[in-house]
Amino acid sequence: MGKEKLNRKLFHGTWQYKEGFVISVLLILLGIFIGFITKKTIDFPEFPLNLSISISYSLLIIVLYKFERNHKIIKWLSSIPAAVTSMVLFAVTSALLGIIPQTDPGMILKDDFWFNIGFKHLSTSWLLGLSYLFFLTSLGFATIKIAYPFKLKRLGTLLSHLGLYIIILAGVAGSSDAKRTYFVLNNDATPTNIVKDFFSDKQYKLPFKLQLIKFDIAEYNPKIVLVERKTNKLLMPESNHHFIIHKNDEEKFLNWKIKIKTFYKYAYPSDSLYQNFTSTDAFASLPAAEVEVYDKNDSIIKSAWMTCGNFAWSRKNIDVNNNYYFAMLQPEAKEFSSKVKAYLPDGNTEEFSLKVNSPKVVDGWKLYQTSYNEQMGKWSNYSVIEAGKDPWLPVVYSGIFLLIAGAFYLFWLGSITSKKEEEEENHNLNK
Amino acid sequence: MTWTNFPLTAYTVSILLILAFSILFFPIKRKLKVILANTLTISALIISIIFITGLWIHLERPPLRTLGETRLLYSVFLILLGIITFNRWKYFWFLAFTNLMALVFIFVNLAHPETYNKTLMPALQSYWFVPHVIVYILSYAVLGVSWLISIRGLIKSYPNLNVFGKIISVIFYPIFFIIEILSDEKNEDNHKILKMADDIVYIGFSFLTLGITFGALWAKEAWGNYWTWDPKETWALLTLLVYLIYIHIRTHHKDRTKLHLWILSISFVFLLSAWFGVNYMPSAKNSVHTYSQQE
Repeated sequence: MGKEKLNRKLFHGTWQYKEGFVISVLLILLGIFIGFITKKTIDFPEFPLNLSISISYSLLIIVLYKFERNHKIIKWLSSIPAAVTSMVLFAVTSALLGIIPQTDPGMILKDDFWFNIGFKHLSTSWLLGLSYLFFLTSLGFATIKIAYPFKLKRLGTLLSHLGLYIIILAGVAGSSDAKRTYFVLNNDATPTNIVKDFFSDKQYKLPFKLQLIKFDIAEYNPKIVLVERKTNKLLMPESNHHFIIHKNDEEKFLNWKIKIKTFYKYAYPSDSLYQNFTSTDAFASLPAAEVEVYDKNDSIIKSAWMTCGNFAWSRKNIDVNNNYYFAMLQPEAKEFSSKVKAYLPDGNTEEFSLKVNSPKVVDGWKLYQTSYNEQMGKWSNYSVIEAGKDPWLPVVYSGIFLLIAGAFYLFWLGSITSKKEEEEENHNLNK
Repeated sequence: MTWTNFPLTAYTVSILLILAFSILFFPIKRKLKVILANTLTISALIISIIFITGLWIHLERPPLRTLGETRLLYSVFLILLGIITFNRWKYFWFLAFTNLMALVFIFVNLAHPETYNKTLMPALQSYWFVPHVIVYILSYAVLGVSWLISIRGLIKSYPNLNVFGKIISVIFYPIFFIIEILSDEKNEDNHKILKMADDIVYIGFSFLTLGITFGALWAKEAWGNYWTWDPKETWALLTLLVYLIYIHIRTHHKDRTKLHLWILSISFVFLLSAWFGVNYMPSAKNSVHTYSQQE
């Protein structure tokens, strides 16, 4: 940039970064202003309007580029300065979203200034919406600029630009068509297709009926720690490994050694003093271990049962002296699963198990294991299921896969291409 | 194989790395240097991989959960990265540097042996877990290197700065950055160092992209939505954006090399925020990504 360019008046001549930053500031102010006036979140229109808007907008970009490529504004929108300033604006609004704690729009009392201007619900605010639009527009023009005229050398760049364009366009446009609800399925309840949303109390009608057969948690064996009474500090064994209970295992903690004589993963106490336990997997049973504690001279100082307690039984620790006691920790969950039966509209039934990370598609709805009665843990009397439907997902995924392909391309060939370009450049310079 | 075998493995690997490191500075033939450094570093890599595989089998889960485990992985990936980059571009200093960095992480693990935990919570039990974490660790390692290159370039760019000036510039880092944005100075000196940075940023950036997309695909399976503006996701996006800004500015204004170095060095601050800074932000209260490391 020479002096002439620096003294160039805003919006005169070739647009550069200055214009980009002025536009960004104007968009921020506009976003805040619209939010302040309307006091509403952005709700993108539903199908089919969202589809036609997405297609028209993409076509508009293509047509404008085809016929008005040399217009000052179009030229700028497809340039790096517009790309960079739109990225900076998008980064700034995202940073706000990444720092300020967000509130669910449904939880807000009316007329909160910060909420109205969008700072407390940025993901649905005009502020983010407008910066998104600037980003999308610049990305759209950049994509068409790379694609037309096409050169094989630019394939990787094209894949990543097009992929990102599809993701953010379809992600936003499709969000209004996505349906999500969380609902409770109770043990032993009759099959139902009317579910009440766990958070909003809104009712949803699913095309099929659901029934919970059984909720279960597979658990790891519990751990034993030594606790310092004064500070409540949990001490690890000498080996620095977590001591997970297994029959006949032993570990050293400070001056003591603890040995597991008997271990029942699920048991009932046989008496009120917890002097004995019997193995059972009945309702509300809990882990129990019979342990021996040895002192420095390897002589037994304690032999007793211990347990971690649950909603039905209290915990029992082993005291070694006035300052320390051994405690069993609550077992950690290995797997949450709900056995569910679905009654489809065609009269068929289907039984399946829902687990975290392993959802199941029934009649176009994806069902997820989400939560349970946390107080009762393994013996929960209900399971919280999430049902979701997102018809735009394949479109977003196609964008994601293009982006992944672009990333691989960049990894293998990106730097080679840039080296070649450099060589060409040097060659041209030397001519 | 458990953490009790770690000291023996660690010392063996360290000796190999130190030997490889010293050989790079020996006055011997270049070809011999390449062969020796490669042999030593690759042996260190193989031993580390055997240890990690053993640990994985023993833990019955990938060793990617605790801080100690990620440090271990980080050091192994630094070694791997050093070997690949060294053989492709023959930067001697690069291998020396990655070996040194790997040593630092190995010694941190030796000094603070992490208590290990066999349990893995259900949300993390997914086939996406390993690729998601590995590509992120790799990209962080690579981009960490690009940050060092940028700092090296910046130091070279201000040759007249005395110690006092250096201290001031570190304290007022952001102000210097803004001055550089506003300034109009062309600087052609840093092309060589930026070329190196570009190669590395491209690799790191492609892994960053893979990390965020794998995360999105995983999130859809585990939580029902590929993007929820979780603070960690937001900061990962921000990191992606700042490196994207760097890449774009690099292609457009080839002569503003000092500015490029500044942007590259600032980008790493965003990466660090996404890595652990986000845990301390007010928005992190409900994040699915703030794991407690120890019970």
